[in-house]
Amino acid sequence: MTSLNHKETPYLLEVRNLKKHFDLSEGWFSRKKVLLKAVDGIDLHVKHGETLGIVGESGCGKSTTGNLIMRLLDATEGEILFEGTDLTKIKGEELRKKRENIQMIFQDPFSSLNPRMRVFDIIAEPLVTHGAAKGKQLKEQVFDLMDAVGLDRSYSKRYPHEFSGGQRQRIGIARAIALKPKLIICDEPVSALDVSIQSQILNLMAKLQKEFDLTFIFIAHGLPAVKYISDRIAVMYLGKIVELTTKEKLFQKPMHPYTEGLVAAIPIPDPTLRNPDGKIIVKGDIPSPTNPPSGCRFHTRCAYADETCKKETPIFEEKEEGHFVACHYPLNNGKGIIAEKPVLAERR
Amino acid sequence: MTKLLEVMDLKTHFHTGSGVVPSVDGVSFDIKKGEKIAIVGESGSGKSVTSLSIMGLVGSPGRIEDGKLAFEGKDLTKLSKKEMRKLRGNEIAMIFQEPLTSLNPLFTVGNQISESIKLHQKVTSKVAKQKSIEMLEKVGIPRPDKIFSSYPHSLSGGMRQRVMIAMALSCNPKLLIADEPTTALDVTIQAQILELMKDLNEELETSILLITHDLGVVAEMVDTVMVMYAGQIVEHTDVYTLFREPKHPYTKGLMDSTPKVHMLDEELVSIEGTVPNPLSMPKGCRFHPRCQFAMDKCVSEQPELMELNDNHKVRCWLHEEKEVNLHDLVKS
Repeated sequence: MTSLNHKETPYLLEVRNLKKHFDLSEGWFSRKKVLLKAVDGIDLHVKHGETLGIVGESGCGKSTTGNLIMRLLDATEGEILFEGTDLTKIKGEELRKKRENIQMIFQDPFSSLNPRMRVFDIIAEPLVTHGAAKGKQLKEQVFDLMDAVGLDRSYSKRYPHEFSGGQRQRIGIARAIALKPKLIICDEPVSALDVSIQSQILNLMAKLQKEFDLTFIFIAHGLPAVKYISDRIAVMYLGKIVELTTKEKLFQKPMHPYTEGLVAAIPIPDPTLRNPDGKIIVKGDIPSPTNPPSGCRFHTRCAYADETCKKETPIFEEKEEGHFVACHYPLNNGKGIIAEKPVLAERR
Repeated sequence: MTKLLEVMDLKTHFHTGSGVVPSVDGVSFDIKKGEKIAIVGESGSGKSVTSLSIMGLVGSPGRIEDGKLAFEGKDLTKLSKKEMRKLRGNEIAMIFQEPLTSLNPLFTVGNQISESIKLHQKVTSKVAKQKSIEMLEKVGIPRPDKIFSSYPHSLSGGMRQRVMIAMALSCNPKLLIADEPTTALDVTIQAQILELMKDLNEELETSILLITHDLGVVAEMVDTVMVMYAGQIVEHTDVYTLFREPKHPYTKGLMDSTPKVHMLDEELVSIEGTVPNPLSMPKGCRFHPRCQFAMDKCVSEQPELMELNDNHKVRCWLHEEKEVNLHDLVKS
């Protein structure tokens, strides 16, 4: 390990001022440079053994963030410290070695599995590539993995098309945990599944996290699934993190107006909680990420915005302990959808 | 309230190379004037085919095998193609999940809305344009006269769905069928569209048949709910009763596996197994292989949709002798 690329960090993963700009300029001699700032300066850290959720609507840069950490994309700027090693600076064999510890689960279990490979070979592939096991040992490990994710051993000779979406996602998970990685990036792992299957997969992931001592980054567009599995949640909007805190605080007392609106927009599965009058509804559409608004990027849709918000970009800082917000006027009594002190008796 | 649509024992089957798929297998319900009603179910439950059957849009190899669809007394299954075309878009309108594929990319938005107005009402182009702009304004589109002459690709997903709603409501239909209208949209935009649909329902008294997989949307929107599983209605009651005391184990399973965003400590209990293959439906109750309460009878005999009271129907043997509370059953 070269000491040049090593930095002290108490976290498993720390991301500093990460940026990814895509050049969309057309033609060789075009004078105007068009940049899509998919990720535009984000900071976050992930502690060992926790789950960090990243949520946001389309075009907010959440998937790009996942791909950057995985090094599927090269960052324009910034540092990705994994166990202190800056992943953006290493390559070749060194990167390959580090990658054993970071794996990914994808959204679409239909396109992320090779249709010409049998289940056994799909799960065995990472073990073979990284030379972790072979022969009898390999077979044993693959069967153990199939047990762990709840796939019947007799399915090992089948092809992906013979499985339902939920089972395919189990295959994807088995492949991801095969090398006993430290960090797994889950990019919308349950979005394509039916509700009853979603909960099966979420419960399986929670179980595996304990069993294999895993750390997750869980990326999704919807808060409900993220809330269930995450310890802390980062909310992204147009390439920036606007709020990052524990899930309790996020749902009880959000400080960023966007989070407040995002939380209020979730349809609650309880008809007695319909409130047609007091409902906060975020107006307007998400602006184009190629031409984001000046100042605070949310100001065009924010009910509390003023002149300052139009001109100055708010700094992402810790306003309360462990509660990071990027807003000029963070809410003092933001409206969450969970009461701050839940009445336990009522739940029966 | 008077009945607007009465669906009686509807059976829509698909004749595929590998066998007959009974997508909708004996579905009965009615929609009253101004009512908001939802069909909830997972993929393959037959919820979309039910709505397509009402619209007369089931294509080959699918066919309505049996049943009656009485819309204001007329049986829709007996109408000729021409009569059906007259009715579709005029009295019953539909919006779909993906607004981009339902709009023609080669015509302006205004062109497409006024086309449907001119088709169903005898008005001049000028009046149709005026009416279209009015509709665009009503569904909350800013600068409607400008949007009138823009093409679908230049609009965002939320705007496109608003355009679809404007088009669907332009002829004042009595029934609006919305098939997963917000599934492809972001959550803040979803909230806007649901609010819009609620407002329009109140203002225009259009009945709404909402097809969805999301219990949250159901709880937020409708008066009455039908839960479908493997082509059949398994539970049918008003929204408050359903969420307070689900009677079918599948309904309860769906609720238990839906994340409860409004609670701090939540537990997700999932339904084991998967939806049955429609080519070989399980004998007896179609849910029995996944049901935690399944008894011998459930394996051998198929339950009918039983009436617990005027307002609550359920397809389950558990309640055959007397009504059972599923919450208590789990505890014991």
